[in-house]
Amino acid sequence: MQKKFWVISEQGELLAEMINGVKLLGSDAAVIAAALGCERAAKIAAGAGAGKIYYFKLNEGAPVEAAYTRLAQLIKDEGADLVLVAATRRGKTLAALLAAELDAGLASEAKIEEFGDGSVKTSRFVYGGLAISTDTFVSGIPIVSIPPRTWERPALVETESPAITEIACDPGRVRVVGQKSRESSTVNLEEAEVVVTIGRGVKNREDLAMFEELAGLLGGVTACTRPVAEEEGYRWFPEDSYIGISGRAVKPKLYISIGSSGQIQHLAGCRDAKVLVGIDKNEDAPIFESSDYGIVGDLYQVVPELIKQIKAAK
Amino acid sequence: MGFLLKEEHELMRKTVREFAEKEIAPRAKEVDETHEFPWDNIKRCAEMNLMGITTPEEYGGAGSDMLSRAIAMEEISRASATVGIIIGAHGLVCDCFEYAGTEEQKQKYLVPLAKGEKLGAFGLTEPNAGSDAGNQQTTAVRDGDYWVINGTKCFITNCGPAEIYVVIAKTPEEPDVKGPSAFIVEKGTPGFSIGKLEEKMGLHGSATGELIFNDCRVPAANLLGKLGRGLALALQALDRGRICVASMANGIAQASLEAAVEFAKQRKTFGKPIAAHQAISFYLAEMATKLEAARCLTYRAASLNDAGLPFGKEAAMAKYYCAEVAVWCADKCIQIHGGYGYTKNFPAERYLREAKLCEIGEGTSEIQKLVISRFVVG
Amino acid sequence: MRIIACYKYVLDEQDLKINPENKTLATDRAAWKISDYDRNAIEEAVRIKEQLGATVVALTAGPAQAKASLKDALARGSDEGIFIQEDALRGADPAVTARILARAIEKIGDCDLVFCGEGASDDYAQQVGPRLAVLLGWPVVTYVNRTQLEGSLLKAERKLDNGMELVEIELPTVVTVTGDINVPRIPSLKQIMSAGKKPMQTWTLADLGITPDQIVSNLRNESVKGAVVERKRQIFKGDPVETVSQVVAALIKEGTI
Repeated sequence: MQKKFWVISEQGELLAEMINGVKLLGSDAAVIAAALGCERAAKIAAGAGAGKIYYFKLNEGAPVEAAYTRLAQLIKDEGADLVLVAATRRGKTLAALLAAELDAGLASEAKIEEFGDGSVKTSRFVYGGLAISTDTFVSGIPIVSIPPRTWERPALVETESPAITEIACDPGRVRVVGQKSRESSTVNLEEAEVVVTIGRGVKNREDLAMFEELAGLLGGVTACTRPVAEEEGYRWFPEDSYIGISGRAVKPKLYISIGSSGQIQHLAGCRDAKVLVGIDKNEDAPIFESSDYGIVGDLYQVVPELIKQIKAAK
Repeated sequence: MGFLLKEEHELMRKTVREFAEKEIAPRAKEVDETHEFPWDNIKRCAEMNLMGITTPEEYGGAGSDMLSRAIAMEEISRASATVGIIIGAHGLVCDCFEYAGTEEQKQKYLVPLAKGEKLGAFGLTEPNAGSDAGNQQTTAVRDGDYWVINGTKCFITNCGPAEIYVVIAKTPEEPDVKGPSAFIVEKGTPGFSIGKLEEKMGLHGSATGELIFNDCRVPAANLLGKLGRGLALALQALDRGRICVASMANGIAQASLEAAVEFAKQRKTFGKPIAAHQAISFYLAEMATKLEAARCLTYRAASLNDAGLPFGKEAAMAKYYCAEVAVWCADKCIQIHGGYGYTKNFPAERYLREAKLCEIGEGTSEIQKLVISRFVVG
Repeated sequence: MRIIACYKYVLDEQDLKINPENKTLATDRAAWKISDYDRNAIEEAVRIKEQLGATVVALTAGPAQAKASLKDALARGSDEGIFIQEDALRGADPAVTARILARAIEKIGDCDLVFCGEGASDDYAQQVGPRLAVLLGWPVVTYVNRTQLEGSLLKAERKLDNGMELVEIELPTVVTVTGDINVPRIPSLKQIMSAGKKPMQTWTLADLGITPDQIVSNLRNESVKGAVVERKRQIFKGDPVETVSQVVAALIKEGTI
């Protein structure tokens, strides 16, 4: 029997990614997309090749998560072999609501390790990235929330399609009365070949130019650790651009960590780097335990020298 | 005493440790370098009810037991022995009021002390009355409704920052009244001034110095306890004080052990961490063992006190033993750090400077042995 | 008003070690703690109580050792503590935890507001809050970093991926809080001592009318293993010109740059 995969998100980009990825699990499966509160997302899902698209039209003032009751009903009616929800904060909330409504298991922010007949095996970080838990669904509909950028994002095409069905939602009891958006990262960290990440060892915002130069020389991008994105006195990068367990996970050929001690929460975001170079003044910093090459020294001496020598080598 | 701590004591330790790690430890190095009195730390300790741990609740304290006080002193000192000694000396004053204060004195002095609104200092030691505490030269003479105090105290902790001083002074002898008496002297009383502050080897943030009394007149109501019973009161308070110094030593020893273990695991020689070399790992084993023994002795003394049993001998034993263990552990901590340990880049040298005080303050190790030997020999 | 603050007692991840031979987690030396964001949940409940008057019930479910957490939760300002003891809850699926907590909340009764942390510091599944809401038939507001209660109207600010969302909701509701919503207090000695005098109850699944078949998970855990990546660990120190040239040479040699 043809498998049914559901992909669910409020963002078209993430739907496209999941549609792309889910095909790797079963190329002949039917892909049903649920686009929550965003018509453009429904069109992108159609463009990305979903066979059936439900566009959940939200009531005025209803949050995205309000779609869960109707969505659960549809999943029950149509059946599902796997339900994937893009793991934004809204997505994670919706996934848990859906799982409770369907009395189903949910693997949060997980990677699908195996997908076989009737069994889905997932892996996910636990204890702040220190360990990986592997779990298998043994009953119920398997629901997995998938971190953005787990799979490659295809070119986005918006397609008007008869496969798009509009669904009215229950209004729910939560009323949205305002939004405040914030600056978000435009850098595609996940696909960068070289990532230069700076930590709290960097003293001034003006110093960022030096790291930009280094990243530019290597054809890469700059990023930061969580404190540099979020802490008072820093906030030099958009909040969604830090590398780490609760931030972005990158897989470049070369990852250079500068002025970061290498907390486990940071390292969880760069574990898939092919080569890791650590630069820090503290010889005992854990970053060196996780580096292929480490340089113990003052970053203000080491980085300019690195720039000089890379230039010379070119 | 059982050999396991109760749930409350464990929770108390965990909580005080969290507090000390978050709010006290980050300031410790700076306080050591600047010699600045850590008022911010003391204010927060007051909010945490750490300035009157064993003082009954009706007098502004936490109404907890001596074992809790020992654990709290240990955890605070693990983060900063300077804050430890400030609280320790303050605690002596609270204990004096609790033991001997009239209801009026308790309301007026003990309540703000135990709440941590005011800081206390305990004035016993004199240039010629340290170990020989009975040889008091400071005098108090009755003049109408006042006592007139003259003399100089030295090595007084919290000297300056404190607002309430308990001062031991020789009073005229009568047929049935012999020995010095205790007086309450408030900061700002005419004739009372702060002399020179000592430049110490360690515990830099705590103020230590001289109290100078020059025809200092205090009201007759400021006699604390009975006339002629001042030294006895001081010695009674010092029994608990010794548990506090022992706990302070345990905190320093614990900090030394942790620093040594951390360094030994990271520092590599001959291709492996030095903790894998027996010369170093045996030091660590000895440090851990001595510290555990020190802690048991301290908690036993505290538990005896909590049970209402005599604990003077055990308190002296704890003070003597724990101080030596702290000095030994801090010394080994430096040794394990090698050259690094001799620098100010690592806390090891600070621990040794702080630990040394534990062998001297509130009765030297030699005095402790004298006390213990009297119990032993009888 | 009665507010329930749910929390999980977890192993402190900072104390965990990985056994190098088989990558299993060594947990025997690890201390237990109230999960980080759950401390924020308790704190938020207590702050509302202090402003508006309420009773805060701290609620947890877990294996026997989690009972020790009650006094900690009470020291943090809760008025009553309820512990549901079930050894099968060690490493449980959040679906199971939510089922048990929901029953307990119904048994406690007369409650308007339930706070949870956004996720636990061990598994960070971020499921219990929303699942609880479904089981209670209540709405949920997740990732809240500010609350304001006006009568029975809760105004909340949610911290989402791309910004803040301001929402309003009539009680009753479940709220999950972020780590930025407040700074949890460190209890004072008096608060710790008074914790022991506050009412504490231990319930079993039978007390809640839950049968063993109702705590079966849809997921089976296969393993929890250390996430160690083997690296070359060639560390250079000394003169920057020298160390940088060694690293650059190595990177060129292996074709990285």
